[in-house]
Amino acid sequence: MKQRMFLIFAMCFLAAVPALGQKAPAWLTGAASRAVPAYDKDVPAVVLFRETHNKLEANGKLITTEKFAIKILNADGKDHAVARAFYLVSAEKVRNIEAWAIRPGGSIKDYDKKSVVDIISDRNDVYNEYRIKIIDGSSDMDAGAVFGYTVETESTPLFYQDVHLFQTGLPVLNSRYVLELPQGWAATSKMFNSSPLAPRTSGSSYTWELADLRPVKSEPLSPSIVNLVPRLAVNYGPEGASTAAHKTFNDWLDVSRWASTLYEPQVIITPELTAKARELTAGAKTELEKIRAIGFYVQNLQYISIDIGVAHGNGYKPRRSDLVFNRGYGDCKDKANLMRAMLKVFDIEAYPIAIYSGDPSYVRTEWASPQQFNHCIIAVRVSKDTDAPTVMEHATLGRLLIFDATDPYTPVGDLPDYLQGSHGLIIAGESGGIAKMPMTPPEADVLDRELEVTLSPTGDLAGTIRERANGQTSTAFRSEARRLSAADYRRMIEGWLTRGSTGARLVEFTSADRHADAAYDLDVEFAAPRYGQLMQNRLLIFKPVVVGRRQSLSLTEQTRSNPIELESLWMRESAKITLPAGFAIDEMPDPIDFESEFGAYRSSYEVKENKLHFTRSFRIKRSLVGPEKYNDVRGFFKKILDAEQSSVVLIRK
Amino acid sequence: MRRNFGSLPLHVCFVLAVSFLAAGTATAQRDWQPVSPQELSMKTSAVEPGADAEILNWDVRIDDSGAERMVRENYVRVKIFTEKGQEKYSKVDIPYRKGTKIRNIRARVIKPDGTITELEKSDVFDQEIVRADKIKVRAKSFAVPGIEPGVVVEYRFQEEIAGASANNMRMEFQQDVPVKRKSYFFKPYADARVLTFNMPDKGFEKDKGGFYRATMENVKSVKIEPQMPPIDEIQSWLLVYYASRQIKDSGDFWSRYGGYIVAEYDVKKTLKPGKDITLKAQELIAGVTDPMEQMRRLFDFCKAEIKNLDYDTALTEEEKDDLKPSKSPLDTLRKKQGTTADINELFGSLAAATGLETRYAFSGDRSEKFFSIRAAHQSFIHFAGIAVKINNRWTYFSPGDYFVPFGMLDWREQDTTALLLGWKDYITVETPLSGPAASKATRRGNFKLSEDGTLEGDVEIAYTGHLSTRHKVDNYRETENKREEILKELVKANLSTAEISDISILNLNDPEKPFTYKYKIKVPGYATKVGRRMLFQPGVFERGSSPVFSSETRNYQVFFHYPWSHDDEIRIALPAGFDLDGAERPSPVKDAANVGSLDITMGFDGASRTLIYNRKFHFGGGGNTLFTVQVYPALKGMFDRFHEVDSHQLAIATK
Repeated sequence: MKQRMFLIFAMCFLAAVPALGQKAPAWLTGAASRAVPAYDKDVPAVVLFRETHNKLEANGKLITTEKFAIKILNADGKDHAVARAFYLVSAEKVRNIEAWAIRPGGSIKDYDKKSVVDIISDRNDVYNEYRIKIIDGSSDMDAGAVFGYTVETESTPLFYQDVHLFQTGLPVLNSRYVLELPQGWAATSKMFNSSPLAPRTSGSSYTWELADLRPVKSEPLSPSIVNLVPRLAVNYGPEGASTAAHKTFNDWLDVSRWASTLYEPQVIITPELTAKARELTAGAKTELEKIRAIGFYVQNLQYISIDIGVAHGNGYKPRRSDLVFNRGYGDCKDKANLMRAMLKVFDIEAYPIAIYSGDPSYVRTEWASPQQFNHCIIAVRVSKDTDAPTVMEHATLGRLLIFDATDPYTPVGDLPDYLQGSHGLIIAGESGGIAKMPMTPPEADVLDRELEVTLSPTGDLAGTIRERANGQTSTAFRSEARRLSAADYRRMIEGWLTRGSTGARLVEFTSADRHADAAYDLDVEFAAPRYGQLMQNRLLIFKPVVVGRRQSLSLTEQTRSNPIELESLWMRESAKITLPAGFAIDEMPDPIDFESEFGAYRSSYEVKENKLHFTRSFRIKRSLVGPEKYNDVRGFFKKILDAEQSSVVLIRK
Repeated sequence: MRRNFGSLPLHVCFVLAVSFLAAGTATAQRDWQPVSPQELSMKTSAVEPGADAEILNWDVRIDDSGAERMVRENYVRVKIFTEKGQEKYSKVDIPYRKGTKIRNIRARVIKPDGTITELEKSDVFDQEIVRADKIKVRAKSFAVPGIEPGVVVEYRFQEEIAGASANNMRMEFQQDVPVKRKSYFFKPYADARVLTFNMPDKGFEKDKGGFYRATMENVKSVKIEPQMPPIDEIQSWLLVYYASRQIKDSGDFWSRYGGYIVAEYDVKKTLKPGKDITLKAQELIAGVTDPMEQMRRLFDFCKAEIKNLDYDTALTEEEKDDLKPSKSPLDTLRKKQGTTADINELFGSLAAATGLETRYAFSGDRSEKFFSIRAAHQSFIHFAGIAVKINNRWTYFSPGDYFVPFGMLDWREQDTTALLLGWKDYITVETPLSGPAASKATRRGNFKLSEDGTLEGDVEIAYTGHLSTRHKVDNYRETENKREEILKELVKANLSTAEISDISILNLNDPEKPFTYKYKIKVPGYATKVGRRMLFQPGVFERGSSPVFSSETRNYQVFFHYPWSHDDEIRIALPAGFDLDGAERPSPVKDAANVGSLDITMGFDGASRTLIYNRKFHFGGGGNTLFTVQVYPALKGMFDRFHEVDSHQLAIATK
């Protein structure tokens, strides 16, 4: 009986307390006990504490310790309960990764080694040295639970520089970056997207800290998160030393000098490469035609990324041009380098440009560092005879034609819109430096659409649509055509027609990709039964805008937190609609002519010889608009949407 | 010990899903096969002109004759026509785990002029993809050198997999590019059977060296179309499995497998319940004589009183893993909790205790395949629910599917062949398909149209049947915020400028009541002004929707998951000073077989100056949810007509 009682008692005791030995570190339990402010219901979690502590040891090793604690506010936040430790398999190691979950009732789960999953970071690459160790606690989370982890990694820094984001979108109560340097070392810093922040110092130890960071909402047409959250850029090195053997940089010229040492030896011109360059340019009569021919060849080589020796700088160094030529594939810097080599056959000088792909305003010229770039394009020195929208004047290098040899859809003379206006580093030794990439003029990126259609007395519509696109608009159409199979492309056009008119039938279409001219043409013949609606056999109503823009824009939320990024767009449309016999215009929409700081929309209607001539044009200027003007932006696009829905009313005579 | 091929834990399966298994290797002894001048000079696919690439030949050689291992060789030859084809075949990944050796990787590219570029051994990378506890997945990867449109690409490699078996192996012939010829060479370990799907029945023919060969030629690529049947109903494939010679035919197979299920599920114990279950059943049906009502009592008890662990959002995965499984229906009853299967078994036991004939229903899954009894393989059926014979008719119940209403099965288990298992025998039935009225959306809108064209008002939408189940499943695990987002996305997909507020979601966790949305909506610019007129679409709930079918042509049958219906009533108060101008009712749409119909009626209440718009729609009448390619033009025409009628506009004008 006593034994039985003891057993019962023991079982009760065990059920009441958390598993013995499950403890969390004091910093985590302390963070977990913090009071959390009230947030909007769409905020799924709050970061209680995050700290990155970098300690540079005397032997040159950098020991990084990260501490992170997050509180889940609702079920949508569970997926944030993941510990990650990034490392390069060839040269870095994760000394330790530990995680804990503190449940709302107070019980603690300690994730053991078996919980760690080690994966390659990018499965799309043929080979990638970057790996991630992960502890995924999401399935154990619920509202009110806290997840925390510690990660310790060891590496040898390639540069005595670092960049740190204090948050990644979620609110943060306390975020800290610590840099502990050897005696006699010092650090300087810059802050972006935030007011300046001076570190607390203690000897050669520096601490930058921010608190109560508000959440950053995910909204359409927002700048990238890295351009919204506080971003710290740090330089460090021995006091009094200049550039510490390429590990830090005073200015962009320093970076150009350093990068040139990596790029220059990789330009190898072999007889086979020379023969190919000559073969490609056999029919070229001008310098521009030569550049186009070589550019087209290089941009159509398969993009393949193989990252080896990244810890030793190979992430910044292209493969030898002869190797890339023989293999027939490469990444962005490989392609730029191959193009340099091929142009060199004709004594055309070219320079690689390190650039950031994804957000034209990401690179901050105040901080000279190769770490700001993730892409490589090319600048080709051209004569006065070569003219193109992407030619710019450089103070020392002269006229440069800028080209992205990685993008298979944007031809020489044009530049992907996400690179236009961006800051790139021209790698040209003593003559290199940071430069702003050209922006193509508005008339180099236009869509012209012409319709000639006939409306029958029963509302059937039939006729042709002729589209001529140039610039980046043509790039979009080109990539659409090339990414879809022929059957799917046809289906896409059918869908485009039927969105404007149920039952529309695609009779015939032809397309012409004038790649070299950065142009794309599409001609469509169609028939749309009962496009116009006949009312009581008396009125006939139809919309003059037969096919809308293929990608319409609607900013649907009532409020806005982030700035709005608008891309440039210019469309001109004219429609000649032969009206049915026996009908006259009863009502026509008023012409529209409105303009704002974001763009302009115009439309007009005129009847001549039983044809309705409808024209419209709208332009959007590339701009970054503050959130305080959100309603203006929204109103602008709403007017365009309304205009596209307007109808004409015919009345039977 | 031989294990089934492909039994990887779920969290590493994504690695396999993205890999490209280059197919067709010769053995190590064989050299490259010669490439013909026609293959080199081809400008477009012979099988499907306009394709991005064509697989000219793909040999898959599977030697499963060894007791301890399986050897598989792939040799593929592909012609590249476009950049898209180039992108697709530019990289090869061969994942593998411990116990697998990858050998003899070779690749080459042949240009139209005959120039050959071979893959260098040093360009094959071997890296670990995933490591988790004891599981490690590696991959050998390479980029294809010199790939561009116009070339012929060839790959081959060999896998030697310890402990693997070809038992239950799927062999697919169709890809997302056309195939000129694909062959499987198979050397079995034991007596093997073959089931073929969407291909000639001949399956395998005897070949050399103990191998059997199955070949298909001129196979078109698989395409994606709206409302298409599950992929296994379209693509050509076969299933190989080992089975005793004693199994004579499909009937014999199902008898034997039925016996296995009876033992595995302890069917006899369930359908011959003991005292406790019987007493409980009697308690629940006390005072009720109608058998359907009795089943209702049992059903409601199982839903309301037995916690369904599969739908419990409060349990973490760790807590679920720690739970001890139920050993029997009585165990489920005592614990007052169980999985979907446990709860269905408890219901079955209770139902049997009332004296009604009760059986386990094992059915196909229409989301994966249209099950036929001739396809004698266990993978095609699953435990769907309980069948009870009431008034000489089988009626189906699945209280374990929490959101499936009383007397229904989930749509996947309707209109399919099922085996009803007793503990002594089985019978084959076709499960019924619920009609359009069972899955209905009742939509009510009370709106005001302003002079500036803004429409605003209140909306209430109630869903029943499969429509209700779908919304509940989509929402029950989500936070309140997420549910509101889901609704807003649904509405804004058609009305992008809509502002939605005051959202209520009713009956989300009530399995029987209709899932209901209530909200306020405001749509600026809903009506467009032209001179003195205003034009608007009274069918608010269909405004902005796209036609179901846009393509003139069709490759596959058209498949709707289940019949459904709508019942809309919309009231729109007109702005002051405006009257209807030439309002006309659109003609109804209906076909002779009453497969689908759409009827709009309209009225005008002069006192309140309100337009009243009624819309009644149904589709899938007569159990018609699967249509041949031949009727596609008529079907598309019908849906186009539905869309035209729904897009009907009215004009109002100032006096």
